[in-house]
Amino acid sequence: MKSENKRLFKNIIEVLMKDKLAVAGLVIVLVFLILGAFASQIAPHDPIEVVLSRKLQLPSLEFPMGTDNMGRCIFSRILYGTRVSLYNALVVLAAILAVGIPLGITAGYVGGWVDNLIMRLSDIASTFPSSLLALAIVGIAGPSMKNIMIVFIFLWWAPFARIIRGTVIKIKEKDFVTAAVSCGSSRFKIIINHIFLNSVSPIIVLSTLRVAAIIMHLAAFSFIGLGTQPPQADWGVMLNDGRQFITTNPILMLWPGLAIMFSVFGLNMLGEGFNSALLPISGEGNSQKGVKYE
Amino acid sequence: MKKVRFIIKRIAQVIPMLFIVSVLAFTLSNLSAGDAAAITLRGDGVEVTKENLEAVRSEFGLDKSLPEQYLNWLKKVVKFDFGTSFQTKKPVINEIARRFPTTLKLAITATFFSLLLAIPIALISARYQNRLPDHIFRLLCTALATMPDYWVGLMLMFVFAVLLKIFPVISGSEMKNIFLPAITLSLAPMATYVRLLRNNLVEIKGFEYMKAARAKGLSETMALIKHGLKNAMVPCLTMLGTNFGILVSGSFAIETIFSWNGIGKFAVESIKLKDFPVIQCYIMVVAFTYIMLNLALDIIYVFIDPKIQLD
Amino acid sequence: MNEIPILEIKNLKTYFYQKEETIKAVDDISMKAFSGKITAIVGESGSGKSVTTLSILRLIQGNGKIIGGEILLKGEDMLKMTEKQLCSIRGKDISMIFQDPSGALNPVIKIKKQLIEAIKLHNKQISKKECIEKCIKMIKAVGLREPEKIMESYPFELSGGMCQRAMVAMALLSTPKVLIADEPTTSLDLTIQAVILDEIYKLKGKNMAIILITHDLSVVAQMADDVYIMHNGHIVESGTVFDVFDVPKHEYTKSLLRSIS
Repeated sequence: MKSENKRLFKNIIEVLMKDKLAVAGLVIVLVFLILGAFASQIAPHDPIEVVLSRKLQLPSLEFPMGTDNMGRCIFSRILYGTRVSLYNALVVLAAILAVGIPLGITAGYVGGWVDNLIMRLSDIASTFPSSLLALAIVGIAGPSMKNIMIVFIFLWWAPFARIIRGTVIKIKEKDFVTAAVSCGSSRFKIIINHIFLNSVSPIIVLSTLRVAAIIMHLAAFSFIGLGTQPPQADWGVMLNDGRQFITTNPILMLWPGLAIMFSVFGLNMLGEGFNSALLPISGEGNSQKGVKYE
Repeated sequence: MKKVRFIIKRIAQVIPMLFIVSVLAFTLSNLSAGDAAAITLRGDGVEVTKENLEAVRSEFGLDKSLPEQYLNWLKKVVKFDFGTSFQTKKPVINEIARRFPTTLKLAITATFFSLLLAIPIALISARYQNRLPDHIFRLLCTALATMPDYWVGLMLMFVFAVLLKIFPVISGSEMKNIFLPAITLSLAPMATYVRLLRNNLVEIKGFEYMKAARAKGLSETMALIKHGLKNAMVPCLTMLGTNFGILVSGSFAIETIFSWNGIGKFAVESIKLKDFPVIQCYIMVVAFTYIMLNLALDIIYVFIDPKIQLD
Repeated sequence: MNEIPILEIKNLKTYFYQKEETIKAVDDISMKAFSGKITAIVGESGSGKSVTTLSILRLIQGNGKIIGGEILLKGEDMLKMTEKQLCSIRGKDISMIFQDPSGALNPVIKIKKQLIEAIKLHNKQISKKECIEKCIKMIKAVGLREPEKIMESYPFELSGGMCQRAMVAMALLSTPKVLIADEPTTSLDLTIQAVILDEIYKLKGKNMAIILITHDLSVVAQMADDVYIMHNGHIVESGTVFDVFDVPKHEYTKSLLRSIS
């Protein structure tokens, strides 16, 4: 089993490396991850220190991306923004996986009315307009990034549960499971083991694409002022701050915009690369559409 | 029979969604009623004490059990009574109704633009399948589909309003300034239509009747337009409906960027001002429209396309 | 056989290029078709007969390519023509009837529009009224009743036989000089097969050159004047129907004949 995993992993890397766009995506994603992780080491200045005497400076050696209207170092703010944006997106993804995978296993393994209930819930979750729920929750509980993140966790577990459920059902009846059970192994344990091998590919593809979508959506809510609240800054907040200077200092809005665009683009390219490397025939990972005629 | 069962199933799916939405909206109205009690007292010049508050609360029916309150609220909602806005002191439903046409205009124009661009691009891509134009458009569409619309909007605004000064920076909901917001909203849906249409067209290209059309003397391009397009469009219908539903709910970011006074911008402003009756009404109206639109589309689709698989 | 053929194929080669191999679907074949005669191309599926007909109209797509030879229509080489010239020949001088009539008619367009299109493409001046009259006359001529009703129908509302007659009518609307019928009866009921073949046979009298593609030797025996036997992309035997049937020379022809008698 272990060597099998290793071979699979090696194959993925090989196929992925042949795809130039995917490699570019991978590089972009890695750069962002490193920048985010080492933000406090790389950042030349304090991201929230206001020094009005140096406001709205153009890029220089001291301030690689210039300063904003409060005299803060944009480069440092972008670095910390990267940390916040990526961290939030990864938290949401982790939570989605933590909800979706167990629900998928339960639905597939138990079957019957439990399966039915979970699947109906997933139908509702995947057809519910996310921005509407976000607005309602923010309306009730007040604007904050945490609230927005909860909304996406609530709604986006569904496709993951569906993939896992499908795999479990496919595996459940396979001969090798019956054979292993007759040798005394626990059926549940075997299935859990095989779920990993069989659904890891679509899950990776979907996760990569979803992280991109999460970054984009979270930034959108920060942008309209319903997500991250100042003084904390993520890319969305910075983009909104910069927007007010579109006629006088458009460079302010350029940096956060580029950061959002490149990270989303990089993740999408990587996701598409994974898609063609891992799921050569079926496009399972692409099923963004919620409504299924069952 | 299968169709009837599908429709019943689809309707059954809608009911819990409407329930969830109504509970959310009710919660909002409940919050607002609590605040409204205090506001009413202050407005009357009465000191906000516990006793006074209790009195007003019972006047508002807030001392009843929650299910009872919910039903009372629902009775009002059915009559389109969503209360008055804290900001404008006018009935909320009128405020939403006044802004809805502005959003609708933008939604229709954006949908129109997205089709206007998608159809020729898909035709060219399918006509020159796996050749240079196809590759270029594919790359372009991938980029557009993955770019956040608010970023596209800002860039378009910078180029066309700030640099070239073709359009004003503040659109102010005027029809003559609809171009930039509409184009912004049309690009991402366009990219998805192109992808779907192109793939359908490429598949149809190999069909027997396309060969027959060419044998009749139609050029490759004309055969695609006259015999391929209509068939290729049918599967795009659901997508078009879903996207239109999203557009009709008002794009928060785009309406904000272009100062387009639709319901999306109004909803965002209301949240910042804690204008609960407005948010409540917005959620009910938009969710109802969106859910019903999708339901109707799914049902229509079953009848239009006999090939649709229901199992 | 010293008349001038209306259509002559000389050393035609059509190859399909797949990843690493080249499939020689049509490999160096030559044949002639004469006005007022039925020329049959016989072979089993995969022998290259359909590719031959598509090559004549230059409708080979995808990874297929005509790599050599000449296709002479009234002495003019079609392989040297521009796409525009070809479009004015397709459906005007050379028409085609397809194997699967319900597949060859566009399912979402009414018969009327598809018929009118066939006329208008090659005759822009014609009035709409004249057009419709012509269509109705042609529908009657191919033996369909209630032409007005047929015109207003969608293909799926008609039976396979009706569709094929509509297809024949469509092919004949521009009075072509050459009619290619690619397995015109394969997908039809036995009783209707004979009727459609009869309609095609009648066209012989109108001085049309008919190229009939089939795998059915009994059809050939009934209808054809000249016969070409195709096998693996080559023409293995040719001649008048009497030559080929009475004294087959090639082993493959002999085995084909044995299988029907």
